[in-house]
Amino acid sequence: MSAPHATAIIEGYLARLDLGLGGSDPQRRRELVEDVRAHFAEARAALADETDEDLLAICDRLGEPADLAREVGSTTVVAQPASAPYVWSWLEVAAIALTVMAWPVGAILMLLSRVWTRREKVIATAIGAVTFAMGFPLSAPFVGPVVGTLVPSLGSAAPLFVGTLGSLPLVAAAYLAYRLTRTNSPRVRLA
Amino acid sequence: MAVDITQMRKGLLEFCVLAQLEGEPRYGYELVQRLGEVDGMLTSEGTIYPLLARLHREGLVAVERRPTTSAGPPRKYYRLSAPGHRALTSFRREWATLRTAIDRTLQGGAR
Repeated sequence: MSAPHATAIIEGYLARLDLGLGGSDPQRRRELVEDVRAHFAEARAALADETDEDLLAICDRLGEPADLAREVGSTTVVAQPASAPYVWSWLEVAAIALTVMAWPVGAILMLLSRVWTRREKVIATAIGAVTFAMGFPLSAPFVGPVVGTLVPSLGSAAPLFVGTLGSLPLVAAAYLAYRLTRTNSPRVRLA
Repeated sequence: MAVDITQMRKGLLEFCVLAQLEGEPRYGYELVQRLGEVDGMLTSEGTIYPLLARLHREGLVAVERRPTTSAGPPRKYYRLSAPGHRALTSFRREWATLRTAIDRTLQGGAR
C-alpha cells in the first residue's frame, strides 16, 4: 500500500529536481527526471509496506535535488578560441592528394576525416563519383587529354571533353582544400 | 580540501561503474545497490544517474531497454561498449602504477 503522502513526497522531489535543471539541455533534463522516477519505483518495489518515512529516506539517500541538477548542469559551452588555426593531419592531406590520384581511396579517407561537414563530403563525393562513372581510365587529369588526342574516333571535341572530365577530381580536391581552410570557426561542444 | 576529495572520488566512481558492467549489463538501481555496499563509494545515490548519462554520451556504455518481470515500465540496462572496455583496461593499468607511486610517497613522508 502506498504511503499516505507518497505522491506529494515523490512528485515534490521530482519537481524540485526539474526546477533545478531549468538551464540544462531539455533532453538531459527529461532523461534525469525519468531515471530518478524509475529509481523511486525500484526502491518502493523493494519495500514491504511503505511509510512516509521510508520515502523520505529514499529522498535522503538520493541527495539534494539541486546537487543532482548541478551534476547535469555541465552544459558549459567549451568553445575553442576563434583564432586557433586548424592543425592539419596526414589524413586530410592524403585525402586531398588521393582524390586527384586515386579517387576511391581519396574518397574513403575524406569520409573518415571529421574535419569536413556532411554537406561538404556529399558534394566532393558527388563530383568524384560523376567522374568515376563517366570513365575511370580517362578521368586521370593527365592521362585523359592524351588518350583523347590519340583516339580520333571520339571526334574533335574529345580532348576538350575528356580534359574537362579529367579535371573534375582536381575540382573536388580544390574544393576540399578550400573548405579545410574554413574550419577555423569555433567548435562548440557540450561538456 | 574536502572538495578536492569529492572531485577525486567522482572521477574514480566513473571507472568503478564501468567495472560493475564488465561481466553483464545492469540497470541503474542495481548499480546503486552494488556500489552502495562498498562504504564511502556512493555519497549520494542520485549522482549515479547523471554519471551514467555522461558515460552513455561518451560512448563508454550502451543502453538497452528490457521489459521487467513485474508490470512496471521497461528497465534501462547499461552495457559496457568496446571503448568502455578499453577505457577500463587502461585505467586499471594507470591506477596500479599510481597507487604504488602514491603509497610509496606517503610512506616516504612519514619516515
